[in-house]
Order: sequence, then structure tokens, then C-alpha cells
Amino acid sequence: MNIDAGATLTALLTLFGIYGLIALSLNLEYGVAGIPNFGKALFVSIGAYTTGVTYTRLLPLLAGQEAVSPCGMTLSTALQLRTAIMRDLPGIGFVNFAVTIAIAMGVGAVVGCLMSYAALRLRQEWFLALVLLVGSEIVRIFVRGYEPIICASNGVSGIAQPFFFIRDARLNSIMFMLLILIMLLVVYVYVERLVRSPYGRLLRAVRENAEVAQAMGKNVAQIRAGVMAIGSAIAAAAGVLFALNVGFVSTNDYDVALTLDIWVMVVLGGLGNPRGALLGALLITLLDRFTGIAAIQLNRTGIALEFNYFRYILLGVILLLMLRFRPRGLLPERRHATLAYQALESQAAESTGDRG
Amino acid sequence: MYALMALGITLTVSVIKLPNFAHAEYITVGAYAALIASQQFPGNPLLIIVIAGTAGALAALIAHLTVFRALEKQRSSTYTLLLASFAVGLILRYSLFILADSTNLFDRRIQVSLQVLLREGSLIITNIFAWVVPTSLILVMLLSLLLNHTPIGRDMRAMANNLDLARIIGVRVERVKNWTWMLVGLLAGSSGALWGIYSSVSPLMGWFAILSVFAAAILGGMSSFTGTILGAYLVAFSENTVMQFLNFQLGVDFSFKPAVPFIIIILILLFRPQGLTGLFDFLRRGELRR
Amino acid sequence: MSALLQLRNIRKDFGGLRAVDDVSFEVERGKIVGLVGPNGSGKSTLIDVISGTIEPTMGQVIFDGRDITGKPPNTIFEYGLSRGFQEPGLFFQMTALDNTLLPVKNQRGERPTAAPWRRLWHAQEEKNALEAHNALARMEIAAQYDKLASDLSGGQMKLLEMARALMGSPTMMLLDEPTAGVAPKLAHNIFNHINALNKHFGITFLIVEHRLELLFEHVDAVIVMHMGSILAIDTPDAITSNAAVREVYLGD
Ligand SMILES: Nc1ncnc2c1ncn2[C@@H]1O[C@H](COP(=O)(O)OP(=O)(O)O)[C@@H](O)[C@H]1O
Ligand SMILES: [Mg+2]
Repeated sequence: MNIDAGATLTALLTLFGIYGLIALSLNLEYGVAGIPNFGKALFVSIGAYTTGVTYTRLLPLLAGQEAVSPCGMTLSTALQLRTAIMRDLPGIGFVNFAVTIAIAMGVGAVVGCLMSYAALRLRQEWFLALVLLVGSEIVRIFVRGYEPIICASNGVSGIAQPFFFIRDARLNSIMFMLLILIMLLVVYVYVERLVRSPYGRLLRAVRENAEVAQAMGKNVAQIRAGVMAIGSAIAAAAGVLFALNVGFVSTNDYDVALTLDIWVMVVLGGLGNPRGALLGALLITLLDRFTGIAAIQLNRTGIALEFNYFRYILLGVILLLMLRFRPRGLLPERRHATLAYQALESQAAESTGDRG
Repeated sequence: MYALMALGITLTVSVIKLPNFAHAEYITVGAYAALIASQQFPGNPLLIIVIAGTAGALAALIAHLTVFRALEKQRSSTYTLLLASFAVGLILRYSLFILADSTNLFDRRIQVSLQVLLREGSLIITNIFAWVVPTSLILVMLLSLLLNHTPIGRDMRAMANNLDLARIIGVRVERVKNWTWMLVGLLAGSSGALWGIYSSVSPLMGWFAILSVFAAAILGGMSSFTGTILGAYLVAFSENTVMQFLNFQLGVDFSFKPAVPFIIIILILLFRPQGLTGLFDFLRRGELRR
Repeated sequence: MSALLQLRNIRKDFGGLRAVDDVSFEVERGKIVGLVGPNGSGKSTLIDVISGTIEPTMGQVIFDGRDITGKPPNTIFEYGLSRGFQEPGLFFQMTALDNTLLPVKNQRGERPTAAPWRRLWHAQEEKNALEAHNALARMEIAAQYDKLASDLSGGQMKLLEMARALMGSPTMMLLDEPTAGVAPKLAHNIFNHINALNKHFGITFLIVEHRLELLFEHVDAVIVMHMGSILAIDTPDAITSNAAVREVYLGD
């Protein structure tokens, strides 16, 4: 089998778009505001589980069809039903997609907000990291054991992306990729603007010294809740795309390993700099693809070595090297991000102009 | 079994001030060292446990010298150290995967010839049981002696109490840290061996257990020994007995079992961050922080 | 008119330790009042209680006619009571200008909903930037505006703290050892600034300070604390000749 360059590139950019979104959200939460969200997988999974629910329940409803339980005996009937709708009724597919994104972002925002209030009760700073990490696993175990959400450990398959109605597989995946990249661009511009605004300044102040920020009249708990809500909504939207991209919702995709991947991206790219998050996402996605391709090639030459192991070791080494030698990442946070500096510089220019 | 592992976490958190997730892998390293040793010297459990403890201690010391010490020097935040411990864990875990893959050592049980020592109705005591339980107890007792009656133990307690103060009164902090790490690794490694004797060895064993172990340490308040040991027993108890009860009474499925320690962690951190300490006066006896 | 700040029977216990014991006093509007006492006499604890950082075990704090006991620090700041920290409480990885801009109230650009749209806050931000620059200029550190706070000297840090506090347009400032670790000449300078702010803006001050001679030159009244309680409240001159105070301080 030859490697199809076009398809590889499409798949690569699609993944980059999804990881980029998640990395942007963590960059905002940890890089800018200093909240150690070690539960990133939870917020991504909220998007995915929402997808699992809407594509099996809401979709047939929107199409005016009889609801069929997606689990158990009627599993394959339900699968055929939703595949048929996505293929033949693109309008309904899009509506369902939009509704899914909206619900996911809403639920994500609410959960993110609530989790941030846990921090108020915690004594030591790293407890929050642990609570988020553990909370993420609890939800995963619960969803895995509780059938009504995504059929427990069986998961839900046949989750089609909105361009599925285009018969040409290549074209529809390119369209999906474009959709994701557009969303990435929108979110990037949004986060970049936040970082450069007085709001960004506020978040950085909370990161540096929450006690002093509070003494400067800032409601720290509310600010943290707000930024967690924004970050979690972005992550949940990315979770919807994640599920649509693999076409399958299963609890196994959203464990601590996903959280760690995102952390590596953000630490590698640059804390507090949205461009850094994108760079990190790109590099790690590329690394993934290359190790994947290399593994296939190696296996063909008969070396039976599990390449995945090297991937994780490599991630660990990258993380350690960055933390030790470039703790601010490849693209560090910019110091003069806000408009205030331009105001002062232009004033300075004017006054020298007046004298001249 | 959790007790030994959780004691290591308690020591790291209180003396080194680092929530170390790589602790999981020190356990696994010990288990693998024991597994390999058991193929060389079958029938000598003591030697096997000593080798495992040494391996764990070495892993912990090397990780400290190469990674954590440098990061602490550059005054990294707790989150940075936490991330670094994840990274160390990843590297160790998947190196063990490669080792296990190339030598075909997956899901193996450490072979110690099995003899039944005593059979009383349904109560069966084998030589395994006879090894595991006393070894754990002896280790805990040695640890307690070490902490309460040796200079190095006194220094560790001083550091747990107040790091700056300890430095001022002349504790050689770096040296004590090295010793603490070795001790922590020794505990982790030998508990890995015991666990491998008891059930089986795989590269993921430590990782799967680590959050239960944290739960035990947190339940124990992360400052006292007796509390930690009690916490470990409570976690083990609630994972098994309480889960069984929930299953019978409320029909809660066993697939939820892994969530039990996690729920413990969250409840304790949110509502009783000091854990069990202070609940009973006798718990104060083994306290690191007074 | 009643006093700007009133403390009524404040007590604070840390476990078994009574750090502040039944303290009551008033600070009149527009005055500069010194708070002195040996180490550990409870001055910082009292500042923490007034600013809302910690809750008192007992007692009431009234500011500007409002009961602020147990209110969170951000609310108390909103009411116009601003505090400095004994260790410089700056945002060290942020520039002097960003530090100074932070406490400005009602910034539209600080709302996440408005932040992405520059035109909603751009005019306000420019105005604030110029004001911040003026505040820095007033403290003679305008040239350092784009330096990181961590790169400033100890004295400049103290000045930056005051410039920053000024941007919150406070009615009253609490300062905890504003000249700690500062060269004597600069210490004078800092007190001159305090005086100027008092004259210009009518800001009331409560100042914890160990350099008594310097402090006494500038204050209207002095409160002496000892082991958590008030030993004396009087004018600087009277305090200097107060026998009980001399005993605590000089052991005679
Ligand atoms: N958070 C705290 N916990 C326990 N004791 C405290 C705490 N803060 C201050 N103290 C104690 O309260 C007393 C008063 O301290 P402080 O207000 O800092 O004094 P000052 O500022 O006058 O030197 C001291 O004995 C100090 O040890
Ligand atoms: Mg003080």
C-alpha cells in the first residue's frame, strides 16, 4: 500500500485543528490564567458524549423518525437509521451538528464553572490539579458503566460528520477539515484578542498573585469560573469534532493520556501565547503521524517493535527537556501585548513632534 | 499492600513537597526487578524483595538527581514538578513496556514455590501469605524506627515541619532529600515485589494503582504514618467490601469499582483536607508534622 | 461627621494565640495615622482584618459609614479602602504599566464579553494608560513603565505599589512598612510622596512603620500596640514622652 499524500495531509490538518482547539483552551486556562486543568479530557469528553446522545436521539427526532434505542438488540437498526439520515438529509445533519455544538459548549461551560469553585475549598494548590484529574476519571468510569448515555463500554458508532452526504469520501473529508480549520481560526482570533485585552491582563494578574489581585478589587473566584467556562466550552466543541472525526464515541479515547498530550503541546509551544499553543499542537500532531507512518513501515520490514511505546517515551523526554531548559516554551508569552503601550508610544511620538 | 505504597507518597509529599506521580513506576520497576530476580533465584523471597527494593530506590534516586533536583533549583512551580513527575512516569512505564515486550514478561506472576502452611476450614495460609504480611509489617516498623530514632529521621521530620526552618538549623537538605528518595523508592520497589508475588506483574500495574494509593495517603492526611496505614486499609476495604455491599443492596455494577478511590479523594480534599488526622488521638503517635 | 475608619473591639485568635485583643480606635478623614509596636504585636494581623484578608474572631470594622466586617477584600477595595503588603505585593512578571493599570475600576475591557471587541474599550484603555503614566510620573518611575516589576529596585517597587494603589482612586490607604528594606534617603522620599498624596487628593493613611523618627515627622497621630492590645493613642510628641511606651520600646 502506498501512502496517499492528499488523504494523509487532510487527516493531519483535521487532527491539528481539533488538537489546536483543545490546546488553545488549555493555554488560556493554564498559560494565561494559571489554572492547572488536569481534567482536560473530561471537558473534551463532554463534547463527545453530547455528540453520542444527540446523534442517536435527537437526529432521528429531527428527521421525523421513530426513535430507536441505540443499544442492545436494536443497535444495528439504529445505526442504519442515523447513517441514512446523514446521507440523505444534509439540512437536518447540519441542524443537528449546530445543536450538538451549542449543547456541548453550554454543558462544558457549566461544568467548567462548577469545577472551578472546587478550588475555593482546597488547601494546597496542587489539590486542584488532582481533583480535576480524578474528577475526569470518575466521569469516564461512570459513563463507561451507565448504559443510557453512550451504551456503556460498547460506545456508539456511525457518528457521521456533517458533510457525509457528499458521496466522494475525499471531498467530504476535505470539507470537514475546512470546517474545523475555520473554527480553529475563529477561536484563535478570539483567544488572541482576549490575551491582548485588559481581560488578558486581569487573568495574568490572577495567575501571578491571586491574593493581591483580590486586594486590587478583583473577584478572583468569579474570574476563574469565567475563564474555566470559556476554556471548557472550547474544549467541549473540540470534543464534538473529535467524535465526528473518528465516527465513534467511546470512553477509552478520553483518559489521562489525552490530557497529557494536550499539556505537552502547550508546554512545548509556549505558555500564555496562543500561537505557541497552535505550534505545539502542530508539532505533536506531526510527531504522531510520523511515528505512526514509521511504525507501519518498520512493521513491513519485519521489525516487530511497538512504536507507540517510543511515542510516549518521546513525549516524556520532550516534556522534561522543555521544563528544564525552556520553561516558557518555544514561543514565550509576549510582554507588551496590550493596547496601553501603543497609547503611550503614540503620545510620546506626538509630544516630540510638538517640540520639533 | 496499599499501605507501603501510600507511606512512600506521604513521605514524598511531606518531606520533598512533591506530589509524585512517577511513584507508580517505582512500584512497577520494583515488581519487574523482582520478576527477573525470581527467574534467577527462585525460592529465595527475601533476596527477591531486597533486589526489588534496591531497584526502586535506584529509580527514585536517579529520577531525583537527573530531573527533580534541577527543576527545584530553578524554583519551578508545583505544577511544573507535577508535570515532570508525569513525564518521568511515562518514560519509565514505556521503557518497561519495551522490556516486557522483548523478553515476553507480560502479566506474569512472580514465581515463589507455593506451599500450604496451614489449613483450617476455609482459612488457608500459604507461604506467600506468610511472607507478604510479615514483610510489610517489618518494613513499616523499620520505617517507624528510622524516622523516630535516627538522626536522618529527625532531619526528615524537621523538613516535613518547616523546610526553611530546617535549613536554618543546619539540616543538610540535599543529603536528606537523597536519602528520602531512596527510602521512598525502597518502599515502592519492595511493595511492587510483594504485589507481584500476590497477584501479577505488568507495566501498567503501578499506574492503575497510583490513584488508589493517593487516595490512601490523602485519607491519612498526608502527614502521619498511622493515619496513612489506616487510610490504606480503609481504601482497600471500601474498594472491596463496600463495593460488594453496594452491588448487593443497590445493584451498583462492579464496573464502577475503580471510581471508589477517586470519590474518596474528592470528598476528602473538599470536605476534610486533614484526612483522618485529629480524629483519634492515638493517630498522633506516628506523626511527621507535630 | 463621624470618623472614616472605626474599629470596635476587634479580636483575632490563631488557634490558641490571641494576635489582636480587643482593639478599638478611629481614624479621622484626611489624617495620616501611624501604627507602631514591637515585632509580633499584631500590626499586620490588624491590617489583614481591616482589609478583609482575614476575618476577625470578634468585633466590627466600619469604613465610610458601612460595616465591612467579614466582607471580601475585593469589595472593601471597591468601597475605597486600598492596602499595601509588607512583602511587596506586585505582579512581578508584569510590567510596571500593567501593574498600575490593574486596579482601575469599571474597566470595560476586563469583561470577557467585551474584551474581544477593541472598539468597546479602546478609548477607555488609552485614557487609563495616560493616567497610569501620570501616576508613575508622580512617583518618579515613569521611565520604568515597560520594565518588569521584578527588574525594579526595592525602593522603586514600593513607589510602584503606591502608584498602583493610586489608580484605584482610594479614599484611604493602609500601608504595611512602606519603607522596609529601603535606603534612608529613599525612605524620606516615600514619606514625602505620602504627604503629597494626602494634601493633593485628601487620601487618609494608616501606616505601619518601624522608622519612628521619620514616621513621627509626618503623622497626625500614633497608635502603639503591644502584645495584641493598644498601649497608647496620642500625638507623636506625647507618645515620645509616654512612659509606658518608652518601657516597651527601650526597656526603661
Ligand atoms: N496566619 C497566622 N497563623 C498563626 N499565627 C499568626 C498568623 N499570622 C500572625 N500570627 C501571629 O500573630 C502575632 C502577630 O503577628 P503580626 O500581626 O504579623 O505582628 P506584627 O506585624 O506586629 O509584627 C504573632 O505572634 C504571629 O506569630
Ligand atoms: Mg508585620
